[in-house]
Amino acid sequence: MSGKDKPELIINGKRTDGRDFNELRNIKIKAGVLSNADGSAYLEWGNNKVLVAVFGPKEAFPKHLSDDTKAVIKCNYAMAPFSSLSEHNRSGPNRRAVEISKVTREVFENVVMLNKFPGAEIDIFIEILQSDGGTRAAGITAAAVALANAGIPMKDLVYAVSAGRIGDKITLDFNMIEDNFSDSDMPVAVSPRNKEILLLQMDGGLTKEQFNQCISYIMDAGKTISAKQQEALAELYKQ
Amino acid sequence: MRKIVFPGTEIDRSINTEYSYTEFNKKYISVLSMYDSETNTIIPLEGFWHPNLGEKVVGVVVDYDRSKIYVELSSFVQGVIELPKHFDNPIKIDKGELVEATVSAIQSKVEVSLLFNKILDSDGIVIRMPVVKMPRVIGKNNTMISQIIEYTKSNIIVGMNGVIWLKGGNADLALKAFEEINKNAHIHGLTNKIKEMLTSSK
Repeated sequence: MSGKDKPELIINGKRTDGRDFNELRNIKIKAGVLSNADGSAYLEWGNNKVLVAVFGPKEAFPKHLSDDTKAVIKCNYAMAPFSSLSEHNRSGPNRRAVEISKVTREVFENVVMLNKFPGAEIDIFIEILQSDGGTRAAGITAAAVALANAGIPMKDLVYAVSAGRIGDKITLDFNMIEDNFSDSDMPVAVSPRNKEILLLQMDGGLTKEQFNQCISYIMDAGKTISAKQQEALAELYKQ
Repeated sequence: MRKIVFPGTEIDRSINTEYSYTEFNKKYISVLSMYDSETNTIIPLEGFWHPNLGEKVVGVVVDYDRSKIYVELSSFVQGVIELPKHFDNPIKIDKGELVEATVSAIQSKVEVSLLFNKILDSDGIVIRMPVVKMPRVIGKNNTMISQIIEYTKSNIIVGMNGVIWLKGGNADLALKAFEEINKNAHIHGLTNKIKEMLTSSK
């Protein structure tokens, strides 16, 4: 798309949806929504709607993929055919879904205590029902809740959120239009216990100062997201 | 005071629990749990069965050969019953039958040796419960399970791998009691609550 067609993303010092530059969209999480899954979560993040189901640990299949020293994680990220306007109108895996499944799997391979279940597999299914930018971050945030709901031992409750740059303004949590037309976009997954970064991808470019600013926005936003995740899990055990 | 703790929450090092891990001399929770500050203990709210020696289990026979019977105990742990070498007391068994056994040795995280106790009638009722709720099913000094048996007169066998087999007596009432335990396993005074339920519907 040429520079001419780029829409105005900052109007009168505000973003297109009226948010501040370091403001998150509304997040709503509900845990344990699917009775057939071992763990599940439903998340609404702005206009994103994500459903995650976790199965396992169970016997790894096919057998040649199993590991005698630890469990293996299988992750499947899929966008429903009706999730966006037109681009994802065909269901089934595509290049983008395979990539996101891989990076999500690698996030959880670092926090799930896989050595407790040798020879087993853990399945994570992330289904995007409605998308509005930042679905991989929403998927990871919801999957962490679903894994905790399944009782799978983990080192931490991971969250993910994106930050980036519009012109020279550093901005948190892009929506679809900002995602498509921003100058730089960086989804990051963080382990809040020790602020370890488990996923970092980037489109466009950032200077060192801008990068640090992005990370500080993400760490601040993490407090809100973690609180929402914990609330959702605590809700199940209200006395 | 009880409060919910999440994976990654730091806890005091004096708390002894298997649902935690240590990193750089600090102890963190690994499974969604409840922390009880009066007893200084961690009660897991979700979790999986990790076999312990001497535990009674209930499982399904999935296969057998000349010397062994293979029993499925949970989604990733298999039990093996070694058949006796003499013919004094042969075990007649078929695939799909339910057996009660005791864990006699733990070979690995996925395989345990079992001592055969008995075959359970196939016309009994089998229910699966989350493993972390089994301590509540049994209760302190067996109080919970013995009061359920007392009031329902059912024949109940509790497998620590999360499988309960029951037959005869007031089975519906027993099922209702187990359902109640499953729903409210994390609250105080559950034994009295179940007792009330059992006496009122008798």
